[in-house]
Amino acid sequence: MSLLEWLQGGLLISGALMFLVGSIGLVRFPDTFTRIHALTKADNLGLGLIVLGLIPASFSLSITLKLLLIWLLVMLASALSGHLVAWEARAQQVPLRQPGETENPEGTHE
Amino acid sequence: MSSDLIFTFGGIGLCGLGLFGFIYHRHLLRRLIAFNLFGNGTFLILVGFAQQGQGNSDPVPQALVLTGIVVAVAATALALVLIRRWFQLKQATELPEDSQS
Amino acid sequence: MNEMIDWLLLLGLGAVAITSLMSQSIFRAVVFFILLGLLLSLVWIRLDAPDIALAEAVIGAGITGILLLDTLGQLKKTGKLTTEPSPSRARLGLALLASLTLVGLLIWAVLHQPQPAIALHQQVADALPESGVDHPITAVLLNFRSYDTLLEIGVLVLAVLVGLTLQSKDAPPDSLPGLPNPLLHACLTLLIPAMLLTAAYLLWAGADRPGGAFQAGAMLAAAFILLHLSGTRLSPRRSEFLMKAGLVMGFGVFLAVAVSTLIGGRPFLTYPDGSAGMLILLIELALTLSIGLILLSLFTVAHTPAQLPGKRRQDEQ
Repeated sequence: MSLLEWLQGGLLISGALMFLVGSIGLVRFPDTFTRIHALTKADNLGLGLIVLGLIPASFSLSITLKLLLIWLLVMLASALSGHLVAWEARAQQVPLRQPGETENPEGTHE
Repeated sequence: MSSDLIFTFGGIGLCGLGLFGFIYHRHLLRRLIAFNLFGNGTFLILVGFAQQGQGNSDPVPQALVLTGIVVAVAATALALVLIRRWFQLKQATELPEDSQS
Repeated sequence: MNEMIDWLLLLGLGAVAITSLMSQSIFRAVVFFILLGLLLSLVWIRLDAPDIALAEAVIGAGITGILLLDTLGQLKKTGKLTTEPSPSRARLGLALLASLTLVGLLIWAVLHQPQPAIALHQQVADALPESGVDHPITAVLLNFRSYDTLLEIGVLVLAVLVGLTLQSKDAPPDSLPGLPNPLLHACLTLLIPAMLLTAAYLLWAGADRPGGAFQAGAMLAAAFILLHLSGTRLSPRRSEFLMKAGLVMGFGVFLAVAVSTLIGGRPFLTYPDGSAGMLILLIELALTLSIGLILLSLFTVAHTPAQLPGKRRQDEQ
């Protein structure tokens, strides 16, 4: 395997790991605000790493630009949706929780 | 097994789950979700079963499913309008013949 | 390796479907249903159907999700969502019996597969040069089986008519202010043009690669709904006539083309030689706009806050 392929593999795997970390955070974090944090930050980084890993395989400017555009759009959308969820959660006065505190039984926060 | 056959069975599973949920649940929104599961299962069977054994994609069932998805979302929207109207008139999220059983 | 991806996808599909059916809270059920739409769009890619994957991502995961969440929010706001008692045992038995019978029958049918009499994809490939477009699915939708598409858009018009009829006459004008969030509006000025551009691109791409009127229409509807939710009204109340004209335009143009070929002495819904590509593009343009407006209207009809019998308004925002 060439150096480039090693680099690609490393980028793709670390991207997938970032997604895994983000997902664990989503499940394990105690309240809405920390969950947003896990979801938007870790997943954006993961997607970025995966896009970077895919670019060497494309060999074409237009596909490269499309991949970068996807990354950019997803970042914009996730920043916006994270902001909106947090904004609405504050308006509804969703309580902050410490790790280990029990969640309400239904878990139906929007 | 080819992808087509695997997802044909997946579609069958979705159909079974959808029918189960549609009979089991009484809440209208849940029934609507079950109905949509059934629909998605049908789409999978339609495309997967038509393509398995051929080895290449078949545009005819794919085109039919494409129109099917658009019709399904229109039907869902209409069902939601009906559910809201029902809720507004009767303050209920179930049908009367179901709430007795 | 590829097969493993399929099995993993199938496993995820099953788990998500069961969760969305059996979860205690309806909110969770809806969220998992949206997730199911995203997974299905991956499944369509695996089934070599990028057109359906595009439509599923926009419609199955996007628009259906917004519709369900919006209804759920409204039901929650206007009354308590009573937690229903769990269904009786007889009901469980009946449901299990019915679904197992269905699954058994379907599996039996798949295992005793009849040989397909005609290879339709071969016929499509043979006739493709005369269809006026280079993408087989667009050719099927708008040339070989345009009957189906014509009737389908008729069904959509019918659905929106029923929806508009059901809208209560005394409902207050849609007064929900939308979210007064500055960041949302700033981002929308970027996102909406991008979405419109994508819709136009999808429509144009439909001639020779995955894309077409349905995906473009769904994209347009998503942009419209986003605008609507953020407080910009494109509502039928402002210009009712224009809206209604837009709703039936797709069906009308399609029907007009179909009938005009009759006048030329050709069978219903066949295009004259040479101009098929032009006519298909014309129909697709009208269809895109109409599908976008139809989905928007169905959403707004459902979204308009209804007046409750007890004069309770839900102006809590």
